[in-house]
Amino acid sequence: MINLIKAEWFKFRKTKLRFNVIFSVVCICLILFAYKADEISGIDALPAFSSWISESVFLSAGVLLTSLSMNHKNRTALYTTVSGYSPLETLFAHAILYSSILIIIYVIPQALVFAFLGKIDVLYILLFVIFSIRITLITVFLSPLLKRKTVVFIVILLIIEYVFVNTMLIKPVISDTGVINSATRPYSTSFASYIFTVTQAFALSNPLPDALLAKIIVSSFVTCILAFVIGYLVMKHKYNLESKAS
Amino acid sequence: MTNSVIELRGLSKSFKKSEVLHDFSLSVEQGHIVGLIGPNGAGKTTLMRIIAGIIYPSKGEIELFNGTENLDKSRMRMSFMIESPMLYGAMNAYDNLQYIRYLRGVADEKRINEVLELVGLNDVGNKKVKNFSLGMKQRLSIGMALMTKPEIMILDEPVNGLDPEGIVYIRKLLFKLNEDFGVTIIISSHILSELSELCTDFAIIKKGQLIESISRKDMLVKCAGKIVLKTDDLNRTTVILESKLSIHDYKVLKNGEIHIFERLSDINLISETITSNGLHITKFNEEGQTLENYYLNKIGGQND
Repeated sequence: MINLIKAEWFKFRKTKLRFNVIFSVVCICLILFAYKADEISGIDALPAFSSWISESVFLSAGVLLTSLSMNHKNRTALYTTVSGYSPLETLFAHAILYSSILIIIYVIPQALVFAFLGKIDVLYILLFVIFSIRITLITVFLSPLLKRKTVVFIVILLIIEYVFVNTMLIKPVISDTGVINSATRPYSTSFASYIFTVTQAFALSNPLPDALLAKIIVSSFVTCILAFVIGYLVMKHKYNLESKAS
Repeated sequence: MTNSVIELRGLSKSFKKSEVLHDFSLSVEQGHIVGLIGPNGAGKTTLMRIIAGIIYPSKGEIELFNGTENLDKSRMRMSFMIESPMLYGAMNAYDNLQYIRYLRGVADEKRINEVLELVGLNDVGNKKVKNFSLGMKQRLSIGMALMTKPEIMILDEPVNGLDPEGIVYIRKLLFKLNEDFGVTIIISSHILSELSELCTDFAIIKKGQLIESISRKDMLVKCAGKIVLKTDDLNRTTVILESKLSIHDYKVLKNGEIHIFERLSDINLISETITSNGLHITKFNEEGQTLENYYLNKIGGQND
């Protein structure tokens, strides 16, 4: 499995690393811009803008997925099979590698920025790591389903925006200052908070209710298992790894 | 004593209700180049995918390097180029080989330059693979298959879409691999003239069944065909053939022609014996067939 991780990392380093680093820097710049805007206007908008940290991770998961979809698009995924790696090994190697990449490139730098600004605590960071691992695992496990990177990216973007708009429509609240008040969003009561990571992630800018904490942990576990089962079955079907008849 | 490196016994493969391979058995000896010949949909690629471990057979047994256990380990001694080219277009040739080096755990990085030189791509520099010509991509695909110094190579249509120059290059390369490094090769192609020059054995497949497995030597004898002879005295000629030349495998046609199917290499002796017995030869020539004709006869003969 080490060889598989080395090879995948090499491919990522050569084709996608630069873009991902630039994208991460842009995300950090936006966070800092939001902070500066707060200082100038005197409005504490940072909690709302902290959703940037969440959204950027979901977008970055889409960016990472383009690296994986490459394997299936040009059939280079077959190399892992003919090199003796099972679909299980392949999925786990990708899961380990891309979770690490996401955390190192996106989560840690952004969390450090928030910590530096004094807007984040340890629990927030831990939960954010759970979200990041969750979205990466789902992305990796479902990657055998998708070939076209643009389609992948659009699908992820639509999910994020759907959840965002949906959440707003359930109970739109505008604060006195005209800024959407994230603290009043109905995260813990909406259906989306049970299933969508992004909805849960937005809620991180609020004081965390205990019920939401439980939802985050349980739903992360369940959705990852579900994505793994789907991904594994698709991969098996793709390579037609039927059980050997006697 | 034969040294078989691949033994396929009674392989069958079904996709839903359609059977793509049926009771397929084949033995491949070390150092041989086996050409898989068959029409589209005959089951050639399926067979290669089964050997590669990409799909499993519904029935039957595979033996690699004299073992039926731990086929995944045995496959590490082999390399495959199936439905190619499978390449990363955004990387250059060196990086594509580097990826395979990591994936297959090849320790020595110098191997990359060796392979690039072997396939004639050592001067492409940083050019991205997506800008390669088809011939260059095919060569790189073969290079990727060569990274691990394989003992067996399975190549599916390696000259597909190449220009004549590219075809010759690939043929010479495969010859070199076979002769210099003893690599056993299984190759499929629709260009039968190429296979006839390259292969030591042929396996003709149709509708998932092995129609015939034949060595190049036997194929040449069969393709050599016959000697067509016509003289001014048919009866005396047949007597001479049987009594003086011990030739019994011949056929007399209504137009007076005699088709001789044995002792084809003794063509000069046959003509001399007949003329020395006072007969006048009016027609005497050797008629053979190409691999293409032989294949078409086989496929046609076994057809529906």
